[in-house]
Amino acid sequence: MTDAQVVRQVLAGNADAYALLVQRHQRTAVAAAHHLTGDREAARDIAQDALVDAWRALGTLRDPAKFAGWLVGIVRNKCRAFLRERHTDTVPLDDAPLPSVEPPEPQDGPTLELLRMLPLKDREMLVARYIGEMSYAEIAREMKLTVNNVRVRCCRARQRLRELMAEAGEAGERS
Amino acid sequence: MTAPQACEKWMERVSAYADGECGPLERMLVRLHLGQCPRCREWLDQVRADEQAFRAAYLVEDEADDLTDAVMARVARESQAQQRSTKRRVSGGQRLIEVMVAFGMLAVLAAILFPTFAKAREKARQSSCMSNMKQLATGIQMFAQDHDDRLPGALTWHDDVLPYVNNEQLFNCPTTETGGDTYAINPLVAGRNLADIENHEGTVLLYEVDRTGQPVFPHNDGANYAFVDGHVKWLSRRDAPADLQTTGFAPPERNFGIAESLKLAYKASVDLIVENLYAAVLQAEAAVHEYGGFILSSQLDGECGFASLTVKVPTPEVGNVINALGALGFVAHREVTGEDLTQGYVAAQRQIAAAGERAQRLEGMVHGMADDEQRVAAEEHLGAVEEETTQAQDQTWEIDTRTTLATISATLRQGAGEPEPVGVIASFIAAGRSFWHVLRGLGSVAAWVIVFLPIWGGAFALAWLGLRRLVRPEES
Repeated sequence: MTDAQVVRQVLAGNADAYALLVQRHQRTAVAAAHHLTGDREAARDIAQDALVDAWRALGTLRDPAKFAGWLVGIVRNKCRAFLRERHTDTVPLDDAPLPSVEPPEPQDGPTLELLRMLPLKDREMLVARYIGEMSYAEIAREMKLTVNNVRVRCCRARQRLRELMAEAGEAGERS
Repeated sequence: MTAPQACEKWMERVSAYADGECGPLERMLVRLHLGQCPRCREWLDQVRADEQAFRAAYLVEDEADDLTDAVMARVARESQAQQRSTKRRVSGGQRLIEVMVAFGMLAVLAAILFPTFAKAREKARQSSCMSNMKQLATGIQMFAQDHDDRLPGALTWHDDVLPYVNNEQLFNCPTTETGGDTYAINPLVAGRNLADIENHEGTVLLYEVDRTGQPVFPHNDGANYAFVDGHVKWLSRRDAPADLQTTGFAPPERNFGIAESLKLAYKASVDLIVENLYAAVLQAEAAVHEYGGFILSSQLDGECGFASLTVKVPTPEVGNVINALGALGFVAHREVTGEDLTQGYVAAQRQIAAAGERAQRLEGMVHGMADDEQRVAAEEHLGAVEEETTQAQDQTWEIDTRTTLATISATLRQGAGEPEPVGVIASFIAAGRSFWHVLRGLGSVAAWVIVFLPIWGGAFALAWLGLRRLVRPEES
């Protein structure tokens, strides 16, 4: 059954059919949120909220076949809100936790640490393209850009990614 | 490793090519270029490899990532809540009740608002009427200033005041609108000198009347009154000046503060339409006798159904006699005018006094005169002075008579109630008047419809929706 068929079933009143969509796209949602926030735990919460929001707003989805791209769009908005909130979350100095003496254990592999250094704009572009598997036209509509603009930005994001990879490779060789 | 500078412009195309976003021509060009340029081939490989690495880094299989249960539990909860809230609205009967409640509220609202609006409209007309009276009172005051403080006469006040206000519309109250004047000047102050009226702020100058000259209370059970000092006030029926309320004018001894010593000659005329002419004439004569009056002339023409009476009555009884006459039938017209003869009376008295002094002087001169010729001349002169005195005495006597006895002329006509217009032209006029009334009625209905359109429109829309739901309750 295609995504479009499942979406139609859910809209017809069969709420249980939504489980199929969740199973298919949860990894995409978590991956996108993870890449954008850099926090695996937060990514899971965001993905869960995004999936419930998507169910609520399913009636507004124009093209049921593009469910994945649409879901990534919702995740992206939620991530922005999350980052904004985290950015403004200030703690009084007295309550701030003492800096630990031991270096924090790396949660993710070296590739993820590297990717986190990309600017947010590039990350959004790569998430939409690689994880959301959206076409240039869809990305353009979602991010309110022109198709040509998306094409240029996509290439630049790849170039930066490549630079980072190359630097990491050189550093690895040196060590 | 970065792509070489020479191939910079091709990198974007290759990137798009890797994403399958090139058109057929661009795709062919990129392929040709890739065949020749090893560096761009390398760039393409790198792009593809990075994509794989990117996906592998994020799209990891993790048991903890299975959100299906958590998401579906929340979806199920929300779904149930939604169903409950929609169930609440499904019954057609309940919708009908809602519509009926809305109707009820609208009806209550309309019941509250309609009389309020009607009152407000009447208030607006009352204000307009007040403005008319104020302007007329000012006009009358201006007239008095130009005429030695004398107020205009009861019959002529309309024409007297018109040049000062220059607007015929002012003589019509917007509520009463009889076609003629809807205001009357108080007959007891008409033609008087302002100095003779003691209480300017308490003496009525203008009051509202209907077609027959009777006082009316058209504004929320009250009427506007203009006073001699120029102020205008609305008074309820209860607070209205008693004399105006009952008869339209007062007997002279209760004359709105006019000085008692004035020499006022009253003249009244009454037009009556009676059912039984003969009986009415007899009753009228009896009434005149009852109040100490006498008949000057009485004519009855039975064939024409017409009678006329001219009577003299003691001035203090004028009001009572006119009331008694008015009770005999329908009063078509009634008017009381008073002529102020005070100045003439005072002048005559002074003349008498002066003539007396001159006569005394002349008599003294006559006795002392030796010359016969001079004496004869002086005696002739004395004769002329005595003649003058007699004339002045006659004048005072006449004034006394006129002011103690008022003249009332009554016209009685056979008929039942209000006379109908006769003749072809009169019929046309009557028809035109009816047509005008119908048009005005339609106009006011249209005004109401427009003013309350939001309420009617809402009510009809609700009714329409309610009926549709009742007829097809399953369609929602």
